[in-house]
Amino acid sequence: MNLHKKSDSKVIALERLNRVILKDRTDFSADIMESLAKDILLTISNYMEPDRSRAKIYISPPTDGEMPVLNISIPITDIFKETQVD
Amino acid sequence: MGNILVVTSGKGGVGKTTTTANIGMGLALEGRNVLLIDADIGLRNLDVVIGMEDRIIYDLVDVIEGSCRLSEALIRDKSCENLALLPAAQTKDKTAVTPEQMVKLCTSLKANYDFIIIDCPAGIEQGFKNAVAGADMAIVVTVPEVSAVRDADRIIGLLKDSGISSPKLVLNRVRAEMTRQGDMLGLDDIKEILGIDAIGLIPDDAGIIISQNKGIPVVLGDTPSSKAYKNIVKRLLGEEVPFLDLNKKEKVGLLSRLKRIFE
Repeated sequence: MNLHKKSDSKVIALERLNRVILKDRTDFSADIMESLAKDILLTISNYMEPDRSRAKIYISPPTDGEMPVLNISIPITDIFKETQVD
Repeated sequence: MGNILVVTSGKGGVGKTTTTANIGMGLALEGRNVLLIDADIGLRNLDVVIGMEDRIIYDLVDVIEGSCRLSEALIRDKSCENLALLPAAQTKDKTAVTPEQMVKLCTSLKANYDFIIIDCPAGIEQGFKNAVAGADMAIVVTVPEVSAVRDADRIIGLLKDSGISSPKLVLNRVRAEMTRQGDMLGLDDIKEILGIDAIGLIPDDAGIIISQNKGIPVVLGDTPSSKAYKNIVKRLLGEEVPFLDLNKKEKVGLLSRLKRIFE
């Protein structure tokens, strides 16, 4: 990692900070978040092949009085022609 | 009746003690009668930052235990008579004092000072509870780092639980160059996340280290951080002062440049 390259790392810091503070404020533990991520990936893998290593699942804090948002970004490496569920 | 202000942060090493010392000295320079209380029992440092470390005989625990009179424990600043320090004990731990005892002490002192400023220890345990118990206002110090801001958020929640609903933010060690490059969180970012108003923006400044080396608060000097602390003092006294524009280049005249070379 080149620490001297212009990186706009503030954007990453803000994103991480918002996530971690939301977890702290809502008592939404890391365990529950991990469990949720596993369930989402399991469900998706019945229909397509997710790239688990690049998956991002997190909650954004509420802005301007809105509700928190569950953000899911999962790159897909393959879409199955048929569902894998019997 | 004076204001009782606690300076807190949650995370250690973000500049609570430096902020306490400089706001205290700044208010005293403005003619206010100020008492600084070091509530960091076992890890006192306010005495060192303000250059009073060789004058301590009695401390906060001695006063609370009744081993000495308050007047015997107070140390007056030599250059600014209306600034006094009640140092923390260095050989005891935080459980040597209870929140109830702190409330009693602060209440008894309130009438004698315009401002009582309590330097809170890091953490959220007994030391924090002691420091906050007697206070009616709070300043939350943080630096533009994810871990420090997270801890500040936790502290703001605890302050609200303790009845201090509108703490003010001091953002310390801001580096203009990094903020410009998009590599450092800015005051607006942090204010929005924490949901509190700011009272100070302190630039990262070599003057702070030099002043601590000498045991003289930087507010007595003429560096960017000196100006930033003076601005906090003005805001505490009700004046409306714009925040420092850290992107503004300082205009240095030929004479000043020559002076710096010879210094």
